[in-house]
Amino acid sequence: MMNRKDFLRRAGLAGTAVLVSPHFALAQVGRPKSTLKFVPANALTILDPIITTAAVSITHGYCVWDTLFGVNGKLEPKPQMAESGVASTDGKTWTIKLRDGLFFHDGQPVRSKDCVASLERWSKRDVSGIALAKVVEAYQTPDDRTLVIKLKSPFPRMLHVLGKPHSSPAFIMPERVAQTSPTQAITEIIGSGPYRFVAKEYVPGSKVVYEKFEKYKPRVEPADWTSGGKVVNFDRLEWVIITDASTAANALQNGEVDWLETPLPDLIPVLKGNSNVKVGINDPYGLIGVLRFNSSQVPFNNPKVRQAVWEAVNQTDYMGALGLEKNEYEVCHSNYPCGMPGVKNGISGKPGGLEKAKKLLKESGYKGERVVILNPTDSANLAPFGPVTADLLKRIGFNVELQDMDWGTVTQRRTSKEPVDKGGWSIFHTTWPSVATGDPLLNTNVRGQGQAGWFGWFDDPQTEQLSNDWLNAPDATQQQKLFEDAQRRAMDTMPIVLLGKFITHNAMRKTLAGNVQGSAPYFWGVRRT
Amino acid sequence: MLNYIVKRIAATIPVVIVVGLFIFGLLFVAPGDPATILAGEQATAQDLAQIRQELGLDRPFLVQFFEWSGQVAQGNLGRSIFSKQPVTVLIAQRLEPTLLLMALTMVISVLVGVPLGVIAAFKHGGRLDTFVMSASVLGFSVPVFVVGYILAYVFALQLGWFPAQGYTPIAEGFWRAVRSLTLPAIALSGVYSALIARTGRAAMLDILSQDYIRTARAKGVSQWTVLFVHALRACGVPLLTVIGMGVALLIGGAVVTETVFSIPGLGRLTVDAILQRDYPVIQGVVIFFSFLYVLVNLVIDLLYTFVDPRIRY
Repeated sequence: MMNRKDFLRRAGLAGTAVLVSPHFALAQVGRPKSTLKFVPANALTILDPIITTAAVSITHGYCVWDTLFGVNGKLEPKPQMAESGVASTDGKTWTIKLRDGLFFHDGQPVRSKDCVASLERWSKRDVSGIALAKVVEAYQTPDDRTLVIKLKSPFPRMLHVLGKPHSSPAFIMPERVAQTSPTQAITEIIGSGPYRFVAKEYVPGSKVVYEKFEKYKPRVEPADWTSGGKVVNFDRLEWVIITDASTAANALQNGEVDWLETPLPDLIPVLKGNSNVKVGINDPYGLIGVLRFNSSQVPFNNPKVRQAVWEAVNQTDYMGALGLEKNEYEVCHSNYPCGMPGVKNGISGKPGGLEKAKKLLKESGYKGERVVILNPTDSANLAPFGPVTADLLKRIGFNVELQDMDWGTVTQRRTSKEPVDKGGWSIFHTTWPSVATGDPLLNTNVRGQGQAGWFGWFDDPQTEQLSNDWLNAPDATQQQKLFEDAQRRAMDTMPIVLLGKFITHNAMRKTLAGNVQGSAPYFWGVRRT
Repeated sequence: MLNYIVKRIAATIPVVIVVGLFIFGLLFVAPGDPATILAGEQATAQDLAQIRQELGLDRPFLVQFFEWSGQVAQGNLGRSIFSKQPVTVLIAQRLEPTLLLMALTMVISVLVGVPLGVIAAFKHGGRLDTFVMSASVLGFSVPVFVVGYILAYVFALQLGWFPAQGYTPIAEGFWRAVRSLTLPAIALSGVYSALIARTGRAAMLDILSQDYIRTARAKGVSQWTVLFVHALRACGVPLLTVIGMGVALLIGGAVVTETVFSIPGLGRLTVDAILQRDYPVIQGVVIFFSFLYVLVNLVIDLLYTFVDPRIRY
């Protein structure tokens, strides 16, 4: 008869054997072939891509919703949900015809009224939409497939604006959903995109699940950025939120997930060394690092002081602080992202160096006022910038205080218009996708809207006039000239300092192929080989 | 006994009220504002003001507090500002992995810590005692995330025996669930094993010098029986206290372990809510924890009566 000691010993051995058996390897069992497991760079917390510019919400947006127009790799607008988009001779009437056979995930057909409600809501939040709304006289819907936009004055960039790929795209929602207040998040996640959101499996901060929308009708052209056919090759898309970079890399190497949006730069060599993983580039236009001044408070209300900082900035220091190699970034002497159409690197020359910066600071009359830098230590892309800037400013001769905090506190602190001794701020850092800041309308960084504008409240009527003139330019030549004038103005006034343009990598299993590049990860085209 | 239980449960009410007031006040004065996170990069001052109004954040502190207290009294912990899901649902989603991780960690810690403590006490002053005590110092000192990374590298990445991350719900198989939490539980159990081993050793050293132990030995009782039947039972109270403390701490969420192994537990829910300033979730989770802590303490106190018959309520 077995005694207690023997029983415990045998049970322990049996349990261990069961646990370690390769047949129970999570990587292999229980996952159908047509599931794609993706690890986003950030957790998805806001499901409404209209009320936020968060990149992860826009990626989510492209799963669930579609847009009237998309863009190709050259950022040229192309019809997507639209069959066509035509302007009248005087430019004051745009007629957009919807493709046949478009449905929402609830089975209802997409109608022009849905487009009107969606565009009205979007144009109350988005910077391009706000510019469009200023000239819209009326939306008309002569039939369910036709949308007519009547304008007070011509708006030549209509299709660019309707097709913008980022921050924020003009996603089309059902009318009842789009009638939600633009400052409140929608509660029904219903679109006409290639995937439908599976609400009952959503675990905030942990998992997001989408299923292929069988009634989605992709275009016939090949996919190119957000234009062309959005052909989905997976029945199920799961976003697995893994906040630890090493764990995410391990999970990819172990085959537990298929695709990491943005591995840490330090881990790229490890991933490249794995025979089952390949590393690619996300967005060829990249991101820009930005140092934003509070132009409404001393000392940075003085353009000469801002200029002094620019003269001393060495972008290689900032890019190196992010752990990037030389082939992963570009030094960009502009306040617009280099590499974007029409942007001239070095249009106003190059920085003169530390000594020139010191000289300019002295000439500016700077009296040693305290400079407060808000530094988010929980952001891998931003935390390194704070100490680099603090050190740089001290070397120029500023009185600097670097305040470390989390991003949530930064977003609150930067709304303060008070002086620094009452909780205000002088500098914060951020990053932007190049495509989100690539022209005088979009580039929130340099717009001179003053108190009504972006944090930092840079006020420059001339910049605003240039933006308006550019938007209404009669032809491409004049538009480019105005764009260059705007670029020079941005360097003369220096509302920000650009800290470098850099690319980010993705990593995926070698069994995946066909992924489409863009300013966000797109889940059409990609397939398992 | 029943009276005692009822009194202890009733005592949770003032505890919850005090905790609620404290956490509400703390969030009110702390920097950060969910409206600014919700509003996005290009929000105007008017957008922010409107969002704050819609969320009720512009109302006076006492108005907000009493409204929230009234909801909590009815069992309604509110909704997440961001996901719009009820806080009770969010907690329920995260409870299973947290409870299973806690149980697994304590099982491993007890199975490792208790025998080590007993052996160390028995071999007091010898090489085995020194080894156990040194190992327990390592258990306290080495950060959990370091242990976690090493375990993941060896047992997940190299050997492929366990997953590197994630949690498999019990509904998909109990043993699969256990397997998905084995490495995190081992990583976490280092600290608790060390604590239990040292507490057990200290208690055992005291017990082993007692007269009745000498009598048992003199009567020819085997060493195993002396240690694990007579002596260990007498150490039950201090060991239960340490185990109870460990359970209470683990319920709060092993945040670092949950982050390293990407486990969707209560710890990560709390941290994510704090970073986003998701006030209803933070408040709801803290209230839930305070209630649970009181419950765990009650259970431990009741277990004392089984371990030591002299204790009666």
